[in-house]
Amino acid sequence: MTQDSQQIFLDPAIRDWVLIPIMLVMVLVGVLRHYATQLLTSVPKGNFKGVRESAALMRARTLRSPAGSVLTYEAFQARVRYLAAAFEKGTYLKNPNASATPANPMSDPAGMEAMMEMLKKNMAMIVPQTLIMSWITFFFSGFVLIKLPFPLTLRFKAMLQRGIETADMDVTWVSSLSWYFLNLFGLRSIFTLILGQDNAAGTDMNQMNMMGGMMPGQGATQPMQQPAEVLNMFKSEKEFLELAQWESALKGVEIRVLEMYGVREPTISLTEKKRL
Amino acid sequence: MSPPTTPSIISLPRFSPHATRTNLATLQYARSSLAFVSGGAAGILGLHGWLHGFLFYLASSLALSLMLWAKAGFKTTKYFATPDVLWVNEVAGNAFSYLLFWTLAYGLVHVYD
Repeated sequence: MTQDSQQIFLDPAIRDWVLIPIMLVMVLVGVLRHYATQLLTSVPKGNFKGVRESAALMRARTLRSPAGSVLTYEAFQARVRYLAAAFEKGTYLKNPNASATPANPMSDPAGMEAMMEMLKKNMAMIVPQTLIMSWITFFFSGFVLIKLPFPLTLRFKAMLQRGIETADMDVTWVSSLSWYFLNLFGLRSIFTLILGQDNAAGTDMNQMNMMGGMMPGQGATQPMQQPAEVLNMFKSEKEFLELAQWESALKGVEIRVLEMYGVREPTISLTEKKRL
Repeated sequence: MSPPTTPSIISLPRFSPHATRTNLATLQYARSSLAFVSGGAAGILGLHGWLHGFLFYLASSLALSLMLWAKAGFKTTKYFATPDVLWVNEVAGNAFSYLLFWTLAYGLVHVYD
């Protein structure tokens, strides 16, 4: 399957009226979807108790992170005791009387809102893609559009050469629908370049992961959380707090200061090596 | 979070979440540009076949990583939580963009004369 095994000359009009327009339309639809999503997404309603709930978790995480070492031992212990007791009693819970059984998300207005958000996002995704796909299959089927620079197995022939009933043609010659799919998956980086990191334009597989791992403490942005789940988070946070270690930030400070100003030879300790 | 075997808590690196996210966004931006540029270059050069195309993509990704590594003063953990982020993050995610621009440039230069 060498490059010159088949030579097909394509009309430049196909390039001008099919190849480039499809790409342009998909970029513009992506940009449009980004802004439409921004318009459709309503600002999550601020809830004092919800914010307090997530802020308490965030505070506990900060306390047991290395940042807690700036406190004195007494202050650290006092905060740990206070927060652990509060988590135990559930002082900061948004809804202290919530039953442990998960409530029906349909009956909860907050859950309803979150589901509407998801529905809106999905609609903004599916509707334009369906429209573009039917536009392409309606107008641009039945001819070869471009040659892929990489070989594919014969298995893909039926999919990539839809509407071209030529048994012997190389699989690398593909029709407009495969150009559409290539655009669908490949334009993500272009959207990143023109719309920024957190755009809502393309099929973002990464965005899902990012949302999950961005900031665990931002409970206010996750309205789908169940009360029982938060209770468990409080319980585990309490255990983490009780295990939290403290060490004064001033420990060995004279050595570090001398090293910083070059008076003393830096001692490459185990942690230093890890940092390099 | 902090096992008892940790030698010293205070020497553990601390990251500002905002700064970490900014660094990741910068990396993503660089990688996106790289997918765009290297795809175009591969197409104009007329590379064909999975092997050549992907060797070219991997080589250019590695070159970008090396440049960023030098830019970071050869200390990746100063800017990212784990050292592998600089080398592998978003390389696979932008491979589709590379394919798209490879195909586009190849088609424009070598198919439509």
